[in-house]
Amino acid sequence: MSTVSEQRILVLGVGNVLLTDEGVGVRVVHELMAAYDFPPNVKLVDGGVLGLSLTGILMEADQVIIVDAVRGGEEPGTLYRFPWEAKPEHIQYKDSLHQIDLMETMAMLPLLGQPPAMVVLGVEFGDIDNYGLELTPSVEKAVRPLMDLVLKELEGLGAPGAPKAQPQKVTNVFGHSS
Amino acid sequence: MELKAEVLDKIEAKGVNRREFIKLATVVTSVLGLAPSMIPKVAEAMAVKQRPTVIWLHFAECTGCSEAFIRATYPWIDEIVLDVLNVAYHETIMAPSGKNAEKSLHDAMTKYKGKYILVCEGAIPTKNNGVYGKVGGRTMLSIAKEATKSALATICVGQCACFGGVQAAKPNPTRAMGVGMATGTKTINIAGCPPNPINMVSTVVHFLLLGKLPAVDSNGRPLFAYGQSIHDNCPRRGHYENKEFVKKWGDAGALKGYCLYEMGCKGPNTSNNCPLVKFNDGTNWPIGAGAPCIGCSEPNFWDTQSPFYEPI
Amino acid sequence: MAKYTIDPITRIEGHLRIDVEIEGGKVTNAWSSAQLFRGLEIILQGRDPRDAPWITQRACGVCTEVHALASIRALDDAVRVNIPPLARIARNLVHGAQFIHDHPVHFYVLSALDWVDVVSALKADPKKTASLANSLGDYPSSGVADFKAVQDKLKTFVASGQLGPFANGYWGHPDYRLPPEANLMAVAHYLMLLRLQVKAARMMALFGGKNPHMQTYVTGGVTCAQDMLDPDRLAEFLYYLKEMQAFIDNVYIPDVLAVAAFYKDWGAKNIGGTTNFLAYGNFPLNSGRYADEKFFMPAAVIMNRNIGAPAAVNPELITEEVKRAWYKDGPALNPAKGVTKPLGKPRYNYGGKYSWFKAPRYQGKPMEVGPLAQVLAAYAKGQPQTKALVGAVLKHLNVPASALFSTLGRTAARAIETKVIADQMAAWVTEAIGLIKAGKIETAAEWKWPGETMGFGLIDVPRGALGHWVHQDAKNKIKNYQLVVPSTWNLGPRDAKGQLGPVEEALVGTPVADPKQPLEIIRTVHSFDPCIACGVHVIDPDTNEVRKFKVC
Repeated sequence: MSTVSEQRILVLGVGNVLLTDEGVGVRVVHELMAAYDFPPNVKLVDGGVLGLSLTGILMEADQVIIVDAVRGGEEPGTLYRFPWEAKPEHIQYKDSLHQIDLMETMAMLPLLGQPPAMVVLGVEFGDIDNYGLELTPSVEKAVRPLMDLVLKELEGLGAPGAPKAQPQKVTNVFGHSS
Repeated sequence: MELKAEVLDKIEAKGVNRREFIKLATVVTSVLGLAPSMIPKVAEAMAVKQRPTVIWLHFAECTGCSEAFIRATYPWIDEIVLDVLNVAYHETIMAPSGKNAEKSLHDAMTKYKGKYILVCEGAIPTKNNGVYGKVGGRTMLSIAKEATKSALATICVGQCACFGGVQAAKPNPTRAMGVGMATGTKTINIAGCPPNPINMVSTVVHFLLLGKLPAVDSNGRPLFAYGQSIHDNCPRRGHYENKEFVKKWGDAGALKGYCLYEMGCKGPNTSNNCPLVKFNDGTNWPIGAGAPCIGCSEPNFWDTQSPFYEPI
Repeated sequence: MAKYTIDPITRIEGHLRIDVEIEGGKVTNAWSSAQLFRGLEIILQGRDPRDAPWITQRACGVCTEVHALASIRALDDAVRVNIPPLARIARNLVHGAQFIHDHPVHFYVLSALDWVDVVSALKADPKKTASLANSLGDYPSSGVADFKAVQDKLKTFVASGQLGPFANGYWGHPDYRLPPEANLMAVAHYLMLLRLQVKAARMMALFGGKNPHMQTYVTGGVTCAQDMLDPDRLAEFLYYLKEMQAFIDNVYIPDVLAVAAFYKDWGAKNIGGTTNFLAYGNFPLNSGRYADEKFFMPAAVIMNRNIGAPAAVNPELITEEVKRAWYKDGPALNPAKGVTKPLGKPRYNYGGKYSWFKAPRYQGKPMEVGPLAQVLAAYAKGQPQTKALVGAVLKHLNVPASALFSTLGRTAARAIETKVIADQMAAWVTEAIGLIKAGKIETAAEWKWPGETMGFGLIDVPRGALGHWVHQDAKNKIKNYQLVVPSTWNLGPRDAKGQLGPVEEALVGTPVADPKQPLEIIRTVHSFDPCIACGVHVIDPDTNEVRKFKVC
């Protein structure tokens, strides 16, 4: 059994950045990459709509933190935390294409070996039906708290992030790098 | 479903990613119409040590079929094919000199006489004894005749090798025709322009799994892939039954994915599994992109299915 | 100088034949000859014009899509239809996907091995390779273990005796200048690209239905209405694009620069350079007939390397000559009135006819087409992205702009163009979203058969300026159809005045260290990215010996 700090941790933002709040998970991952440094055993990935292409990345991790928009029936901006396999009954995962892909991806993992432990950190969305590169105001307000939730989760795993001396700015839908 | 660990280890040793491999084995299993419980068997067949010898010949073609193979299915397919098969002759693998290449072909044909699988890409020009197409100073016609004679089986890849292709379209200036017709041989025809590489791989796996080539239709096409019409399996079929048709490009029907019959779709005339497996790893297919099928896996479709935009 | 006749000439596989004379270690004369008559024009006659894109697309499965695009533009023009903005963007996305697939594939699969010695990579130290890679850029998979793995793979490859794609090489040639570590790095990236190109092909399939031989273009627009309006499709496209951009920025461009640094003299001496350049323009920013179109990559004619004076393209000034080609003699004709009368018994004659290619000319001049022409046009017309990138490359290599007129310049231009196009594509997706949000979701415009009509479609494609000319009769059938393809411009023969074609001109003056291994010649021929399998014949004046090489 590996010690906590040796765990390979994956923070995976998923969703479609073109559909308003659907991109919140991706956005949070890019904000984290731009503003924090993480220990070498932590990997942050913009999983977008890549679905099945993510199986390889998922299998290379011991612990996965999925960041995504969630439908739980609460006010937009409400934060959630639940293990993937034990997601509460009342929480409906979204019904978009990437979600179906994500479900299929998760279902395939046991075929490939021991799947990682997965926890979902989510936020109730306002709008995932209309084109838009900006988040709705209540979800925009939840970006920072959701980032903190991810940081807290990482801290609990013994892999805290440290603020960058010179944080970069997230400039486009792909994050800060391009 | 359980895969033998050693199969996966072997695959990984070849630099093939497990995930891609399992996915491919799953697709091949479904293309062959086998039960999911056969996936491990298919995977095993694809990882075998005993590799059948293949001689691969190029005739009159546009390289689209080769291109389809290198970029379609899963990225590692080229390696799987190269590792699964013993490719004794392939023009793009040969040493530069034409003479040496000729010798390699001759050697391979002698050494594996009666045992090699011949794969042909491209049509055979036959006018004036085939002078319009030569490789190494010999007509394609004479090379094809010799190579098919000693082959265990001949697999034709693409419309050109199967039936003559674009150069055989009227007025067929070089009297080009498919390898089977030009040589008087019975061939397995993986039809399409280009064909879906998954059907080629599946044919080979069928051979490895069952020790024989798949059953074919009257045009030499494997029934597992070409046994049903595109129309029968089309996701838009319901719209056809409901008489919901696209009438103009981009109209309300087009936005709803209505049937393309009135726009000239040749799906009802065409046998192929495109609706089930799609192209480029399932990314899309012509009807998916709102484009009518042009019937590219039917014999001489350039003449028999055109004009493409007139209803059947 | 004595003439050397090669007969028979068929001992070599391939449809392009290059003959050269070498004296004093340099090429003194060159002939480029197409060995295959395709006859597509003849097959097209009498058919429904709407079928032309699918027939002409089958001219080549490597440069798939491009003929369909030129053809559909000719058909749009013939019926005078303006396509809707969303259709224009869809075509730009599909066409752009072809560029970012084709150019990196050309560099790594077709031309890198002219500069990179694969066998030398076996001697490389993986540790040093990793530090070299890290000193050059932000390469992915560049650890010691990664390079060791590639080297092991290569060793197995070589030990098996089957070199696969690395056959045909002149390994150990004295003009391979890269150190073993750089060679190993390039081989690693070659393998990386082989896998990545599959994803670039999916980008085309997202809207084109499949690749190769996509199927979405129709007169008046595109059929992929559902895909273009599907946010998940658009997002998927962006993710593949992002992956390709990372490769272009972190691997392709740094590799080109790394190779170029070892061959600066090829730029300084303008080895492989030509004189005149033609770009039809690419990626329309509005809809309309050619004369009214504005392009993201501008159209321009550049004569005598004068990038200070780019002229507009006038399609009327394009002619094709047959004096030195295997067609019945006749006047130089505009393709709109072109005739194709092949000779029954083609005989290779250095002083006379020697190719199935006609000789296209603009204002009577031979013109180079392709990435170098396209980048020069964009540079000359002041397109900011190209200007900045060309400037950065020249500065990095510390060479003057004149070095662009060379084989090396052509290779660099291809990489520059790839980046300029890839960096623009996300903006087109954003533009599409803007249109959709504004309710402008038309993907095809209506049109009527106009009776007898003519049309032409000009567009730049990865290999250069591509033109289709269609003449429809009153019964809406094809009366005449002519294609003038990039390789005809670049690899066409001499004309009536004896002016050399661009590749012939480019070859003259090329140093050849060893006529038995004509590596330098092949570099220049490959830099034009000939769309046809080609063979090179080298005539050694000392021995009168003719050597033949299959080069692709």
